[in-house]
Amino acid sequence: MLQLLGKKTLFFDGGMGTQLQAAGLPVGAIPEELNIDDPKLIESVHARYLNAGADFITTNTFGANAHKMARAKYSNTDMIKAAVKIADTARKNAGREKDSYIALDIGPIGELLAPIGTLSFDDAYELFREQIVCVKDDIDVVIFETFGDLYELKAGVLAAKENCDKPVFVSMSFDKSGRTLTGSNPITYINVMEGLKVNAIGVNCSLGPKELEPVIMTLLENSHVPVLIQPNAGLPTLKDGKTVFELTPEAFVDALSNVRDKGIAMIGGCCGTTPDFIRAVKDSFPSDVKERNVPYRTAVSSSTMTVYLDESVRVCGERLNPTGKKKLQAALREEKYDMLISEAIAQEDAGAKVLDVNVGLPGIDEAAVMKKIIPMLQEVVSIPLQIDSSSPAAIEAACRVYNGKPLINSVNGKDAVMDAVFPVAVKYGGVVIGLTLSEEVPKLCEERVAIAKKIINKAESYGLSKKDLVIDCLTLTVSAQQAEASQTLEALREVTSMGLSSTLGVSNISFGLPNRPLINRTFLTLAMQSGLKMPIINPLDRSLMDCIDAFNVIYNIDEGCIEYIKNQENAPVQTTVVVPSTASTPSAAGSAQTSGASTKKDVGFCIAKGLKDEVSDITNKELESTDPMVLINETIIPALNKVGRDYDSGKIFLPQLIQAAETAKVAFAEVQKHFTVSGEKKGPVLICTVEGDIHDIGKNIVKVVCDSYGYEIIDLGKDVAVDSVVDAYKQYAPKVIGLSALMTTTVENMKRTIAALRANDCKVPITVGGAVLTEEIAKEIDADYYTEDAMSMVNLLKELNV
Amino acid sequence: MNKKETYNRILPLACRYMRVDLLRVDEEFNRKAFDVFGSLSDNVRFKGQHEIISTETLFSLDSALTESSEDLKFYLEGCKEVVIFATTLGVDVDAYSKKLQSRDMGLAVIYDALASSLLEYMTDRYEEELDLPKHTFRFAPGYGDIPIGLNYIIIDSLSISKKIGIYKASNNMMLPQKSMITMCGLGKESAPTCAHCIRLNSCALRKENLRCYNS
Repeated sequence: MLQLLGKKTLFFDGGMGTQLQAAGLPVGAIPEELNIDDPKLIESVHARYLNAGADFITTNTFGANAHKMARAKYSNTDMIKAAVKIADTARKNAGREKDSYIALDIGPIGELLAPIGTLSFDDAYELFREQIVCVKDDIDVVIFETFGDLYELKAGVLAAKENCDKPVFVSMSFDKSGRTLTGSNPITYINVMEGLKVNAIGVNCSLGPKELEPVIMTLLENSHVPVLIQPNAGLPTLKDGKTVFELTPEAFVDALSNVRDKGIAMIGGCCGTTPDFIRAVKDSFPSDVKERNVPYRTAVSSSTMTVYLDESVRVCGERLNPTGKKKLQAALREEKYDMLISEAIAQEDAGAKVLDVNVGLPGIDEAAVMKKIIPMLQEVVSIPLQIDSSSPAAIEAACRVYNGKPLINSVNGKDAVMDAVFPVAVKYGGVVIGLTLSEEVPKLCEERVAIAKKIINKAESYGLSKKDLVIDCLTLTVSAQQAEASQTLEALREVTSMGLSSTLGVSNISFGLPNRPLINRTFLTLAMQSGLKMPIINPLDRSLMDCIDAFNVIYNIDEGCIEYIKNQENAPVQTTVVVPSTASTPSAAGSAQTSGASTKKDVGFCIAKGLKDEVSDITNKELESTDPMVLINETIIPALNKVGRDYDSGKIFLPQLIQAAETAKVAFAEVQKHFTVSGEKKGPVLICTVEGDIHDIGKNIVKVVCDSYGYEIIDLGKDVAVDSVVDAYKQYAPKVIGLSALMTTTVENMKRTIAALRANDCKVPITVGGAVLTEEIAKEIDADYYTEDAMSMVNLLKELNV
Repeated sequence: MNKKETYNRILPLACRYMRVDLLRVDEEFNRKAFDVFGSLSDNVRFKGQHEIISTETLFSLDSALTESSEDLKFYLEGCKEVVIFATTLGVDVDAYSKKLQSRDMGLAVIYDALASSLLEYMTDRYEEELDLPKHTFRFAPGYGDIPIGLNYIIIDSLSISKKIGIYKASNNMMLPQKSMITMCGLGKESAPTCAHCIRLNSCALRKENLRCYNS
């Protein structure tokens, strides 16, 4: 089959479910049960498709995962085995044993993966694995179809690749917006799935052939693997209370006329299509697949976004790296990941297009931390991540759970490093940064280029193309190796002329010199001019980002200066002109006056009004003349208390309360910088949303408000297993525990959590909150307190003297 | 209908969810809420599905569940058929909510309330456009004594996950979070009342002489 694939047009079958419903399958019945209850019926559907000319028959196993089949009367694997047997019998009886193929059909699990849902990636993998291994020797191909979540599909593809040696086809559904259920666009889908080495990539269901045309065209124009399409028979309409698909086989074929000769490798049908549709496409499609020439690109993806690293300059944010950052080191050691989350957000918001993630610290299980932190980061930022580690095990752990096509940082010219990292990159479809460093630090351009070539050759021996590489030309420190620093720029030009993408850690250049930003931005500009595609910098450093903005304007990349104007419109213009000391300076006096007439907003006003963006500057200004403790005790706390009272009395509402709390938090953070010893935190208080419940907005409100009152909050997150709460209680010794639940059904888990805590001798007060809770329920489930909202939680903490 | 009109329609219900007194909404709050409604609109991918099935079929989907509900029988008494609606704002709304929560919790609260309100509103419009014959008011599992577990059975039976992307999550919850499964009986007219509501004696709205069904 693999010899024919992509050369001769192959035909899939059409809809199974609609055929069974036409044969009398009632609403709500489980189609897979028919594999055992009525094998003849299923066989007859296969037979009709084979007679119509289908090359592939798809087993009646779309929903046959253990999770979905929980209410079926047979075990899922028994139904799968029966289905494959039926398909085999059908092709034997049709005399098509030699020239038709059995496709094991696997549909979505029917539950969304974390972080949107609660199903873990590993559990999803396990469910798919079970469906495949029971018939892996009796099928010709595994097809995952109608998927809406790229992450779930990744779990499926890995399960197939790791447990079975048959080809793997994938097919996702796209809605009218051109995106999948969880927001992936076709380009991202292709980039991720090609990385995972699927044998064919396709689109099916949800829309008819005409509506799918844009997605089909994108697949044909961008995919390097054969393309499979299985549209519905048009859009469903309701007729006499029944769902019907109105397209005729002829209209179906007509609707495909624009894409017919564009290189589709396989075609079949989804909902509403019948053997007549397959016959019609078989008659109308060319027998040879038109060759497509799709150029290779250097691109990394998150689940919703693909970033090309071979066109204009894309910034990689460098701040998620504990090297030399004491606070981040402490946060990592104490597993307080909030700081990493806010660093990630700040960098994305500042314009980073990729984020470097490094969690390497002595004594830390890097692989375990990566596995935890990658999904957390992907929940709050949309841009792709760069997995940065010197441990191949950590890189593999991160690549496995990463939702998208990762960027791996890095290999260098050493064989041992490449031999450890390249297999991981091949397996998970990563793009790899190749650092032009070997046993010795190269000084000259030629040495760097030689190492780059060595990396390219080695990568190719593993099956990675040079488009899967980004070369780091190695920044040297100009104060130490001034003669060689410019060699980096030369190497960049060489590497670019070889058609490679490039990266550089920029700020290393200025180490040891005064006014480092000046050297940094000059070097960055020269490097961009020499072809640098991905500077690894601090995107919060506006002076560097400004250089890129200007560069993009001058090279006509930022057409119409749109980005430039957006970013620079309100930028303060700094024209530092040195004025001779003898000159009179009336203008300076004038400007002093202007700044003297500053607004009367003080810290208290900012808190009351929730002016989060302005409070930092104002706090710092007040700290010039006010003692930090005085500012806290006489301004911030009273302002916060007033806001709390106003909320209690209904003068202000929840959103304003939260805004005020967040503003106070920013003010606190500024004030704390002025203490010689770090500010004392009250608590700690442990909070979480209980097991089975993913509603965490209420819990998050509590966190923000308590935080602003200076309590240390340990937030375990949502859907937290009972045992994890107990473990956290033992680990952190909190003074109060707060549990949240929104659903009546999860109040039961709240009760179990409390019981488990009590069983572990937990004597600290436990308070509960959430929409369905009341004072009575709190008592019933053995909680000590019921806190209705965030303010009442603060009041309770005060009352308990935490 | 333009953005501003939709916003004005959904704001009262959203304020009720936030326990914000509509009469005291000031210019600043309104501006913020309207801005955040813009982000919400960008993330909404509303999808609706409806199926007309016989009342008998509905009751047979899981008879242990349906037979246990007095209210379900009461509401559908005399109806031969039922329309089942499934509507969702799509998963991007959830994803953005999470991002907003990490950036600005105050806005996230407003966003969440607007999203809930928008789902109700769009579901109403979806129903109106069908121009149904004589029918009861629309209700949902979880209302009265109708078991919420019925949601799961309906999702499976009508292939709702495959068709419009509403999924089961643990504990009878649905994902995306802003999703609803509702139904109304065909053949008779009836309006909602508080009589069968689980919160009959503890409803905050009733205490203020308000009703959740005429906003």
